[in-house]
Amino acid sequence: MKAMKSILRISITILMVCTGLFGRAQVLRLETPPFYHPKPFVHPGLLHTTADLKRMKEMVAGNIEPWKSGFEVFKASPWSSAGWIPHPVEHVERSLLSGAGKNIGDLEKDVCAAYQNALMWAITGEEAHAKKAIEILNAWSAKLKVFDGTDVELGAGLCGFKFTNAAEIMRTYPGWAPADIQRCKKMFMEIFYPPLQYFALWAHGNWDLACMKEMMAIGVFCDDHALFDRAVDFYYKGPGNGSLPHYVINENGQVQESGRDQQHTQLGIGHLSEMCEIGWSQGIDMYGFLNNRLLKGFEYTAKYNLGEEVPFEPYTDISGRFPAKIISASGRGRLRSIYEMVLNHYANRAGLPADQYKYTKMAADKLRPEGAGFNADNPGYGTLLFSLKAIN
Amino acid sequence: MRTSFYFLTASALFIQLLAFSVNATPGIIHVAKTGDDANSGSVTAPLLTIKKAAALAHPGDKVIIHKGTYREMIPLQLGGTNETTRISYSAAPGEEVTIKGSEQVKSWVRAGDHGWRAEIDSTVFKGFNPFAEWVNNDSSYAHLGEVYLDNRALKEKKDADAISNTEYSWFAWQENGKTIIIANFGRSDPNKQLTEITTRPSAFIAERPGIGYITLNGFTIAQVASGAASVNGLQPGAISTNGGSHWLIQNCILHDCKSVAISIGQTGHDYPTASPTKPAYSDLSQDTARVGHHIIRHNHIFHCGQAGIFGLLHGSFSLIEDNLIEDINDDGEFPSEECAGIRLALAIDAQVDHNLIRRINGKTGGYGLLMGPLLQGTRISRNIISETRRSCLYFYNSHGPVLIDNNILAGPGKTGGEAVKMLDAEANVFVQNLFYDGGFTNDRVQGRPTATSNFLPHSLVIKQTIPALAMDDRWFSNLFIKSGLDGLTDNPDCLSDYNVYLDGAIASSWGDKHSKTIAGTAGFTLIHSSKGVGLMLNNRVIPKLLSPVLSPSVTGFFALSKQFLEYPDGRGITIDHDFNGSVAGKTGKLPGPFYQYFPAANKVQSLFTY
Repeated sequence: MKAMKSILRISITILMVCTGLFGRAQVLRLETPPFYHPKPFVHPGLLHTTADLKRMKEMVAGNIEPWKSGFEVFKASPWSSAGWIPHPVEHVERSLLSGAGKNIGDLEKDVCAAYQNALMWAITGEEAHAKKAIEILNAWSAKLKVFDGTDVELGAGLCGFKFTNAAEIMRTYPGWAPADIQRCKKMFMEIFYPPLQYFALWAHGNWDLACMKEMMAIGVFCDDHALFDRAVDFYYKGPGNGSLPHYVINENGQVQESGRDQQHTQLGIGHLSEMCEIGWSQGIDMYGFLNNRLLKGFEYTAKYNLGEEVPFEPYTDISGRFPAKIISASGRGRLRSIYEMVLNHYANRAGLPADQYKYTKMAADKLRPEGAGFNADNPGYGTLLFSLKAIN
Repeated sequence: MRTSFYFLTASALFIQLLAFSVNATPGIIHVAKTGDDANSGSVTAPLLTIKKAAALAHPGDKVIIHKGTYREMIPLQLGGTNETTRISYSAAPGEEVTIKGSEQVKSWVRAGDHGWRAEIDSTVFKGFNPFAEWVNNDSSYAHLGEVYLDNRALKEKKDADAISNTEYSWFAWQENGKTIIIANFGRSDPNKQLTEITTRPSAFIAERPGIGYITLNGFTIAQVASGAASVNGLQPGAISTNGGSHWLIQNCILHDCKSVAISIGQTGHDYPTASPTKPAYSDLSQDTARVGHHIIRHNHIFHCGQAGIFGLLHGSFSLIEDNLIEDINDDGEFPSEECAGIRLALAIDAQVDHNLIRRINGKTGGYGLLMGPLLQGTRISRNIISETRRSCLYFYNSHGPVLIDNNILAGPGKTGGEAVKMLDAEANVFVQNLFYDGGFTNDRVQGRPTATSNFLPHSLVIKQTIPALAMDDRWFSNLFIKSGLDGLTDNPDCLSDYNVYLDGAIASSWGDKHSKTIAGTAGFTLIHSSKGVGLMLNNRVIPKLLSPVLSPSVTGFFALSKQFLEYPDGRGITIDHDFNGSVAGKTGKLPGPFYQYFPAANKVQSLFTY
């Protein structure tokens, strides 16, 4: 029986890819995923490449804006402290059920601390931060056995993503024992990956996206191209709400969750941009897909949250469960720290005309320096982490 | 005198010792109408009552009951803990054992020209008086009690005056602590013939929740005043597992049970404040080892008011097979929507296989199978269902997947309703069925959607609680006669293909690319006998189709429920066998439950024999 299950699971892992074959499908079909990336992966190659980390380090050391003020905010976070005490446990649960949600808060805080300490080490060169990041990663990989709960896709996707990014940065640290790195990979593959392997086709798009971005991240960290390809394929044409065409639903930039609230909308487009950033690190331009559709989602969302009106098309999402007739004002105006990454790509890498990223820039300008990314939701601190040009 | 005293004392001690020996090691306890409850229970000194045997039985014991009629309710206080310590209760091989929930009445006196009157003392009822209680507390219907003349139920009347001019009827009331029954027995003298009134609510009943590993084998159970059951309330039955697990109920005949014959449920309740953070049914056990796993096999259930088999939760992981369930809710007036041949709720990995279910009547209910809420991994296979007042199958509030394969479902006709009704029920996969004259509905409840839970595969751990829609349904390789899928709209991700539509049945407008519509008729007829059914079908008019073998990779992965169509042990199901167990060849096969052409068009194919 176990053998049968293993065979089934392996065959899914090897073969499964989600296609839009059936339109609004919520039943996954088994097909061979397209090959999106030539081997080998760039390391570190998730949100931050070697060049990115070098730039941050030099700019912070040179007290150059906006990195200088971005770093000041970043450094002040308790999660950037080498004095952080991790609280690893065997069982973590993210659940909507009343009274459930065991230890998820501890994990969320620890993954933020691991990620930010890894960045602190990369920026300051201080060994204490490297050791802290490794300590947190090792502590959890030694102890964590079970990750479950009704919302485990979100828990594993969001927490896993920051943790994997921390590990990807720290893989260049000579003090991280190879055996510990292997154990960390095992944790990602055996604890974090299983809950998100089938995405979340029944849910709002941010669920799919939490799965997608962590799947992509694990793919890079563990040099597993099949995982990477599945996540990228879902971004382009997955059947759930999380694919780009299903999440930023039209050329106006309306987002699948615009009719729900503005917090989740920003969370979701933030996830999309993080996938694009990983793609960029690996030499794939996912930002440009569908004529820069992602940017349109950011523009629409930023414009509305900056107080202007946007057109809204009544829309029933791809799962059929979340019809929306009007845009939701819930959370309107509470900008999240997601704008710098996208602004810097389209303005400084892609070189688009300024009118195409007008509202994204306004949001970034308003927030600058960007702060935390709301627990484990998004990386945040975009001013420090994703700025590409100095600002006088 | 002194000698007698010592003799009696020694005898009593010896009997106690024998009883102790029965208890100390797994053994066999005999019960016979010639026995005595002071006996040891050996074959030569059997007990008189099954109840006494149950009180003595310990895990691993086998209780053998010898021929005769036993008028008792048997509370079960102990069960086994695994297959080897199962406590079994069996009719002795070749002997007829009847357990009745009734008592004989011989004290009838003449009351007028056509009536007889009996005064029944309250002591007869032992605390439960079915003539003082209404079914479902609905005084417009009937009392729980019944009156029988020579094993035939008389009709209850609500008016004493109606008795005189209605043969075989009765009327009852309470007076001065006694139950007064007046009855019209036609020309019969009730004191000379067998006259019985129901006095007990169950035959076998687990005394508390959680009693498992019980076997009941070979009994006739009749005339039981079982109360009405509700998924969100009490779930009594003539056999009541009362929240236990791993019962084996086989080769039994159950008839004339007022409501439910076999209850495998447990007491439920409403969830008025249910929400995704506190979903309905989240307070039930998640311990799969102590839930369901019943086998209900080869029983004949008939003349019961509400349902043959009923249960919340403990249909999970259970197998219900080879049962003949017929003539449920004879008068069609039972006051409940939950009237069905089989009615299960929260039935994870339940298997309902090869049952004949027919003549299911109902006022507001009357379904062959009434299933929901919460189905996942459920399989309904090789059943023959006909003559139902409402749908042969009704699924509601479920995320699935549910596999419905190789069934023969004769619907109530286009004007009588649908053969299959789905309401907020997702992911129902219909493969190789024969649908005759019924059609489908697939709808959502209007207004605020119901939050419906699904589970981690093959478990009772709630995974997600979200609205269930009308989506993800499949129809592959079915044979539709007279009614098809034309009534269904193109719900999200519903697929239909490789079907054949006959005799006026119309294909879906949104699928059926490779399906065929045939103008002719196949002469479908079900030939019913007293203990079975056969099929007349000229299947030579049906074309063979090169349809794909439906392996898990073809039927797909049901993303919400995180599973393929799977057996309870997690293996993927490939649907490559037909009703008779024939294997699909590579050269095409007939749609419907028979892969091959029948040798002769006018020959009756046996489908079920009890």
